[in-house]
Amino acid sequence: MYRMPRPARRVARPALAAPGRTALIALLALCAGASVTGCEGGAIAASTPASGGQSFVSGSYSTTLFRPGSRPAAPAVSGITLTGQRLSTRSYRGDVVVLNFWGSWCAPCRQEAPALAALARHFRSGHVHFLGVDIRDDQASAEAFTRTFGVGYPSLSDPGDEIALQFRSTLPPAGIPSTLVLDRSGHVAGRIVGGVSYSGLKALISEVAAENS
Amino acid sequence: MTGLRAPRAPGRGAPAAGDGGAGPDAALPQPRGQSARLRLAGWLRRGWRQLTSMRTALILLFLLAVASVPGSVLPQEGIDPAAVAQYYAAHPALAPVLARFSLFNVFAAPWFAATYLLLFVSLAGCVLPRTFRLAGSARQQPPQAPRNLSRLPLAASYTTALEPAAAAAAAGQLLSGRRFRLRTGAGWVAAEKGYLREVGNLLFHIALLALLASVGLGAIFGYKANRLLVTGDSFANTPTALDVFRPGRLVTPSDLAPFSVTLDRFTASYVTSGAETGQPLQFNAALRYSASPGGPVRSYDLRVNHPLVVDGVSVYIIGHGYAPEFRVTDGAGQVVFDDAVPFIPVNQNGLTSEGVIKVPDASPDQLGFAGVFLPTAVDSGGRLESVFPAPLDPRVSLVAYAGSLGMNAGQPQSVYQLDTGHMRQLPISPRPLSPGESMKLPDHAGTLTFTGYKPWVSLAITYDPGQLPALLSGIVALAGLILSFMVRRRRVFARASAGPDGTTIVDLGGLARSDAAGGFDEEFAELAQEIMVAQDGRCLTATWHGTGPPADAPGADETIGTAPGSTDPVTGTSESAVSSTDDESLGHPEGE
Amino acid sequence: MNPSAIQRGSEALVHVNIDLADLSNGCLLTAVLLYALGMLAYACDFAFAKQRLLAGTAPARVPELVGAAAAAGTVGAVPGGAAAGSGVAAGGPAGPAEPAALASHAARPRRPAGFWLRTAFGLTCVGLFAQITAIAARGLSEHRVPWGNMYEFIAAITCMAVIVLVAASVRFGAYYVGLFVLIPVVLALALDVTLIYTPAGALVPALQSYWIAIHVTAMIVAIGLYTVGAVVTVLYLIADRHGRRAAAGLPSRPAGIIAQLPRPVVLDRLSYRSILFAFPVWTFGVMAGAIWADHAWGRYWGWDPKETWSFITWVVYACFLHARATAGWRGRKAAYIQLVGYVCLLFNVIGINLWVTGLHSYAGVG
Repeated sequence: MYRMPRPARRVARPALAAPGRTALIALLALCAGASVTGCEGGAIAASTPASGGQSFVSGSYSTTLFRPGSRPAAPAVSGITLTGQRLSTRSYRGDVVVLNFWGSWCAPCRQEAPALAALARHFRSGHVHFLGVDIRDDQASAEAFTRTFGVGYPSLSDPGDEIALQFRSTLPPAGIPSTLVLDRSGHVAGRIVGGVSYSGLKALISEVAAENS
Repeated sequence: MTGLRAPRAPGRGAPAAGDGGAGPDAALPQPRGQSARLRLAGWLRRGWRQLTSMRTALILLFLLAVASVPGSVLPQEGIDPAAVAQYYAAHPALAPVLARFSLFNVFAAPWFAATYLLLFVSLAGCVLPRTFRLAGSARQQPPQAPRNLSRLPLAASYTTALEPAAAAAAAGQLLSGRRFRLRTGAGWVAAEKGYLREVGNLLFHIALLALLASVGLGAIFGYKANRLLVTGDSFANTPTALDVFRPGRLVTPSDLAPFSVTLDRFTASYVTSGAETGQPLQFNAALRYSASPGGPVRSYDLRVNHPLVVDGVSVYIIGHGYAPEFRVTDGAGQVVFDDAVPFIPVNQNGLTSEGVIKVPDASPDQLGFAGVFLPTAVDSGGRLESVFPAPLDPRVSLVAYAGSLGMNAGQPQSVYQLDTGHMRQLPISPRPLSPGESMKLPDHAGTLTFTGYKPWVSLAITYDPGQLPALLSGIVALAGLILSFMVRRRRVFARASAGPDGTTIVDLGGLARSDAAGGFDEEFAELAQEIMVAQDGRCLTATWHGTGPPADAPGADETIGTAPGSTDPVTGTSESAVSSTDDESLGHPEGE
Repeated sequence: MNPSAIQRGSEALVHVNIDLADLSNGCLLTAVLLYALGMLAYACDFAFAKQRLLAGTAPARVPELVGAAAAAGTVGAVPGGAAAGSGVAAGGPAGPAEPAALASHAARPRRPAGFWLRTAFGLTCVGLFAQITAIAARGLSEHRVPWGNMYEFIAAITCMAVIVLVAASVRFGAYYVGLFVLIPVVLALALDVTLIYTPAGALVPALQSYWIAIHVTAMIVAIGLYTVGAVVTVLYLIADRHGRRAAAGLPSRPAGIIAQLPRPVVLDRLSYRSILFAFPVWTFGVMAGAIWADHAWGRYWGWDPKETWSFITWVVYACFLHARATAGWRGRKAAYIQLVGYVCLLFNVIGINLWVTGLHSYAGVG
């Protein structure tokens, strides 16, 4: 019968008693877990957080401003307005353009609409053009929206997201509402994600309009 | 099992210095700081050893399995948030308690992450040193042949006319021809084979680490998105167009591949008769897509199991339903709404769908409607229900509200939910409408016309750069697993000594470190036969203990006194899949 | 958009060959009957057979070395009645050039001995043939792989369990396991043909892929192996307990049957071998499922209940394999872990389909 040989090395006994072992494991586990939760990927501001087919826009807000000289160039935007006319921002060259992405179904867009309409009226004669880009809306609802809020500036409808795509290499809108302020040379001076405030946007537009290209 | 010899208690016998009988612990007193540091270092070292031990791995594996259980029996937010909401409604007291422990989001919970992270740390801490050791021991020799080979589980002996040295050498040559690694000595030969087992074992565990890394890669650089697309509509892969967008940590909107997709037509077929009536047979979404704005437009028939792949991004069809179309005229006579509204199916048998219509720009009051769409409406006991998922007789039944939808305040709302808190229900009896029929609202509030219906599809858009590495890791893991299960580590020894009247007695012995897959017995028998026949030998004895020790051996299927992780060569069945490299204990003569 | 854009032609006819479907049902019923009779025969074998060749107690392969002058040497053999195994006449002189007789019996199967055992094994084999015919006929009648709903799935896994039983009997002489494997097989099939029966039909779109032949087939093979492993483990636990009680002098109940089973360590080894085969197949099945999930739903792992329980089963069996390598955990403790794994597997196969809704709800039940 084969006799079991003694192991050449001494066996290391567990130095910690069972409670100590458990405590060590628990401590390490907590450390590990705490570090991991910080690594979880988070949604980008203004993207839609819900799942299961519910479609709405979150309420996170951010403002990004660019100093002159480090501003990305905005593409020219053209399309058909809600009233059926052709329009292009090329005709706005040399003026400040405020580009606002909205939809009649979007609650934060409705909340900021009066401010935008008022600002458009305020800056009407100051070489500042307001242009809306209507996302995922039907003609009737969009027209009704402009009637409700007295929106005096034109809006392009963008059912296929082409206009949004055009901005993908510069500063794509991260959700709606988003507002881009383009300076006189056609560069993006600032982007506001989320609803704008009257005073905040007015200050920004005034500042950009005051620049001499 | 002998442990450390107990140190002499202080104060008894001669003082430590100069006393030969003092144990190793009776050391000179050390400065405080140094001993504390040593204690900490020792504590950490022991803790690390605990963490990377097999027992801890066992416990963590079991914990991981247990931790996954609530994630499969409770509704999870990442999979079905509606079910979570239902659970809250059904268990109002219990649900918040469960939520506190992240039981509705188990697989993103910190304690779940801690468990698998700890397991992988333990795995890495065990596997990586062994890999280095394996690489270093690539040329390691088998141990010496034991003196008494008849004690090994498999043994045979024969006589031959050759000289002992020649006999041993001939045996060694034959074994070497069978790709055994040899070690020779005076009149003996030790051969070992099957190192691939450890290679396979380590490969499997390292591949698991690589799998985890791939999953992490996808979580950081990949994204998942959903979009519900009504027939005739298009969308582009940009955040404003996506219903749900879950980017990885380092993903920005400009990273999204800028393709556009148009849904031209959706067709579905169902079983029309028999017990499985209503079961779907085929879904087909005819798409047109272009990989970039202005690029060439291509067609594709999107079906389940046939995703569309554009620029490394995959588009899948994961659901479908109906979007009835409505035109709403408000009290002032203006058309304020004219669109298809996606209704969400609530049961799969007849695709009864629910939805809401919000008309925030109606005047004088905002209007809202909520109701159901029935593709094949049938009256059953006064109630309408849909009995077949295809639109053979579609009806819509709505309740009308007027008042304030709450949208102007800026608080985001779901487009599928109507908040009637500030609205009054309009007194109309909900009459089901057929396509083309209208519903006149009282008090000149307006008219709603059900103009038609269109199907919609729900698309899942995913980009996962960790997908291919995960697949490769999985394949490597499987290969390593199979290798480690199939290859046996085994040793064969031969010892030749001069016997009576001039002949040489050759003893052969065989030992399998793991014989769980069986087969070493035959292999040893074959080898022994070959060696013997090659030397014109005559068999003396053959013994075989393959099924285990005789019944009187204590603890036949439990190990006695072995170091954790080392093998039990007697039974042969109990072998570490992740074996230690305590090879020196095997095959040695009695004693150490 | 007008309604005609939606295909009104939901008139797709499912072409099912009714005759073959009926043949399949009949063959499956026949198989159940034959298995039941086989069970009886196995039981009779335990009860009546006087002299049984205990498969597995004696080594199936005896490494006898046949020398030239066998008269001078003795051919030693392991005690245990391995006389039937060697096939080499001891004591007869043979020339040096005589080829080795060892390798020839290396893989020779042991034949069942005794009328009852032969009858039982024969009935099992014929029943297996009937079951395979049933499954093939079902597949032909539906023009697809015959595992698309719970009824077909259970028929397939019971078939696989019997295949494993037959293979283990022939290869390892494990005829004694026959009765104990057939018990759950017959029970499962009885439930299957009565309560879970679904008429032949087509697959839902999510299952219409060649992956069903890869992923589900792997799962079926693995489940059959796991089932036999679990049955043998239960036998091992019973035999081991009996052995301990007998060694301690205590009475122990099913002494008659236990005495006719091989030693616990042999049962343990057989069970371990089943798991060694099953685990890589299960791993492959889970991987194939992940690849298919990515192909169909856009993500290769979404913690769907079925996926989660497959993972749990995998982890518990990995726990079992690790336990076999840890001192103090071999033997009974590892056997318990394996049974826990099998319970998880049963919940995965049956419980998830019936009680939990997820992406995997293809049971067709209820």
